[in-house]
Amino acid sequence: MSKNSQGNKAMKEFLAEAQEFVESLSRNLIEIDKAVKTGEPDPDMVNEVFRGWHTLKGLSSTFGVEPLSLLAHNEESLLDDIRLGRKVFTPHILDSLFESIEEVTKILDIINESGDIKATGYRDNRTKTTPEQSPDSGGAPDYGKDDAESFIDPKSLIDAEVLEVLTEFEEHRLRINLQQGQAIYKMRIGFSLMSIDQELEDIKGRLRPIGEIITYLPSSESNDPDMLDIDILLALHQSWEDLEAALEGVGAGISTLVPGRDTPKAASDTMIPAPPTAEQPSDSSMTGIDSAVASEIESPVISERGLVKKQKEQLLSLRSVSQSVRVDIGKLDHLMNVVGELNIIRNAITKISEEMRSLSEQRELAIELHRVSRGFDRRLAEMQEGILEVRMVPVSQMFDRLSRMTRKMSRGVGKEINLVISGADTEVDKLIIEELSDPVMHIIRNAIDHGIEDAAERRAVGKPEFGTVALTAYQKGNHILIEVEDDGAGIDGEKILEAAVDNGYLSKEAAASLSEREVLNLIFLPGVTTTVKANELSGRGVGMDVVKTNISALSGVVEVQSELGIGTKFTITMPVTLAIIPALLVSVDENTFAVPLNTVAEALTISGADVNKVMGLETFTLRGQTLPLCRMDGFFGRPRHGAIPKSSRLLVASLGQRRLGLVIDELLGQQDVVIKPLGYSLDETRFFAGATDLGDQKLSLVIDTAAVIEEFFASNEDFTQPAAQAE
Amino acid sequence: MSNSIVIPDMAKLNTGNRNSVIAGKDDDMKLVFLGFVLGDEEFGVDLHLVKQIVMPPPVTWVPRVQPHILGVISIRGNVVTLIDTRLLMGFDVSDRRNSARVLLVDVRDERIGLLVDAITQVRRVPVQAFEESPDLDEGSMTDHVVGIIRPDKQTQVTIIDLKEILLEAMR
Repeated sequence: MSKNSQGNKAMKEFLAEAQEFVESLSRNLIEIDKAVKTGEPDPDMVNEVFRGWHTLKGLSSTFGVEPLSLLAHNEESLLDDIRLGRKVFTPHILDSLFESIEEVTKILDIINESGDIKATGYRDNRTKTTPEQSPDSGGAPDYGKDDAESFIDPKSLIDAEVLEVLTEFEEHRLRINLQQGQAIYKMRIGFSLMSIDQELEDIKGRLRPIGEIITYLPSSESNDPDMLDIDILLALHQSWEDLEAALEGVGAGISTLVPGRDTPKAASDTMIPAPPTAEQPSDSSMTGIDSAVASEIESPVISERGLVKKQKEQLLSLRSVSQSVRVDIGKLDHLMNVVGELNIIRNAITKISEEMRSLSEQRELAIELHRVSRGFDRRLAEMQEGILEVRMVPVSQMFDRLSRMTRKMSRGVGKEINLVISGADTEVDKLIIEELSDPVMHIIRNAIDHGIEDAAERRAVGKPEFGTVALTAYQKGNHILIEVEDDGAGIDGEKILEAAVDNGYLSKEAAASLSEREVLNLIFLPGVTTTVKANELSGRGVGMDVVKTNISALSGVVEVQSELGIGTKFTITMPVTLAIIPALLVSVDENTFAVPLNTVAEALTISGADVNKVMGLETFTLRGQTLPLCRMDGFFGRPRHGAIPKSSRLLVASLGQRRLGLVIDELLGQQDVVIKPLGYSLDETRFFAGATDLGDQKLSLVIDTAAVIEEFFASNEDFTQPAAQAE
Repeated sequence: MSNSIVIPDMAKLNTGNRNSVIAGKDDDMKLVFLGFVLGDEEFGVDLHLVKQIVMPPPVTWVPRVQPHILGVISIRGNVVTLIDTRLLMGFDVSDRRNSARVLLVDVRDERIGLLVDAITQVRRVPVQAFEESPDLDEGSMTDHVVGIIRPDKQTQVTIIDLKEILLEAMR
């Protein structure tokens, strides 16, 4: 049993780690893809992709995921060839790199679903050849190394001592820069051991815009135990003045290895001075431990060349570890549950203190208890907020995946698509991100497939040939809005109406009376489409109706606006988090339900006398506007006959642009509730977002207001009427 | 939880027979069922299927669902759907008895609660005492009768394929 769960844990860790690699790989690839279109991709980034695959290979062979390590191995060799200049990024190679990421995702999915890390269900169905079979790669490991680039031999220009410690990749980059006639400098900069990480990053940031850092190594000579001298090998792409400007205020000794056109004569031994006070560590900050550490770090650097690299790697790895901690979302859910339970206890304490206050002899104690529990409240709220914050991840996690897919799809249909992303740092609950990817993907797919016209058509109507899809995320109050907007042909309302009538959703007469917005919303009905035939990308059985269902399941709404010839915009509105929400507790027919507070605009008292009728529908006039009423008892299938009882309550629910008055018996209070999902066995009821434990051992259902509103307006039944009168 | 009984024999049972829909076997190669009562009949299910037995907790009504779904209950902080096994099996509903218990079973990755009128005992019978699929009347429920056992002269237990019945109801 325990062995099993351990394996499970290892598997989860593997999946999480692999997933992270996939995300950063794809981010870098997208950057590279962009860069290739305009020129040279950043060699650093190419190297990072190479390293990513390398790590993934190591990771998957550690866990014995053979198909993955094989795939990673192939990609690693390909990237190695590219970063060493033996191959260049062609659209074809880029395609295959993106495809490989998809394949990895597939493998991870299979492992995740089967729960077996050794799952063998995966087959690479692509026709792609492995490097061994491919004629133009892999075969000769030393291909080109000396032939293609031999006309400049770094050995003739640069000390063997320097070359010796370069990796193959660094040497390759050096050679490229030499060929381009760039000046090469070696800079020695002293760093305080205390803050070397930040300082080094700072220097790198200053140098990157003006040149390429070939490598940096801890220097073997140092005379200050608190300082570590680092030699930076820089290929300067800009002028000497730029270099001086970039290093202003940094104490840097520069020696020229290969002079450029404007290298000053004296530069072979230049010193860009440091300001006298800054950068030098004060002696007072030094402790015995520091110097011990320093000498420990330094001695191997001096003694053995081979260790210099190790040292460098250590500097790198130390930094990445300190950045973040990976946490299983299940653990956070558990913490959230505990906070939920604490909430229940808090409510009980509040109740006790209220009861105590009514007893005169306990008054003092009661006041004390009340004060203490107020403090507890505040801390609890803080803790709740903290946990929620941890669950939040930037939507970029999803957007990265989407841009990858967009690229693939646009190539698939032969349309040039420019995906413009904004608000990628908007934070949303991890769970929402996971569940939202597919619906958003589908909307984008539709935009590319049916929205954006082909190049010829676009030219004819005077639009730029490449289509634009804008993916935007932002927060608005307690909601996250995600917009997908394209500059395509727009949705033809006529075709939508036709399809809706053909599918029997409404009569021709009814169709004529619909507003523009109502017409567009018809696309969310199953089977309603504007395209005659489905193709490979869209129309594979997943329609806009599924998009809507999925979004509704997360208590979100999706709305569509479209203008013929101009474009289409989908707006998805989601709650920021699903884990814990403020809710109103209400009673309907002696049952307690929770209604998410963010869906209720206001609460009023109502009785039968306040009700008007419009065509048999019960309505209420709220500040001069007619509000349709839904009696919740009738809606839930337990109608009580007669007029609405005196001092009933009315909740004005609003979602998107729709408003509905929910008639309930009593308003019991307000409380933060932890929503727990209902089982699959209750899939048939769509009206509940889940259940919550209010502390009386009995669960209360959380009403999904969006679903109720939707059902109310969609249904032919009339829940405003007592059942007896409705035919 | 004080009101729960975890079936003691579970750990001892031979787990090699997990796939059997009919019954688990113990060390002596006997078939092991959990007996429970609906109305005046005793039924048996594969003991392995039953994860836990609890006293009926307060039930929350869920509107607009099939009649055999009684509602939801809270089991260790999780929301569990409670099913009226009588209605599920096509029996009449009658008064709730004090002896009523909830069997917790896993179906399609979901834990489901089944309300039964009473638990009798764990029934062990040798393989040869198992009368397989008796020829009964055609009917949706009789299809799910996989066999009959007679632990003693007075007792007859109908063994049903509970998982299949639940899956069918949830379809």
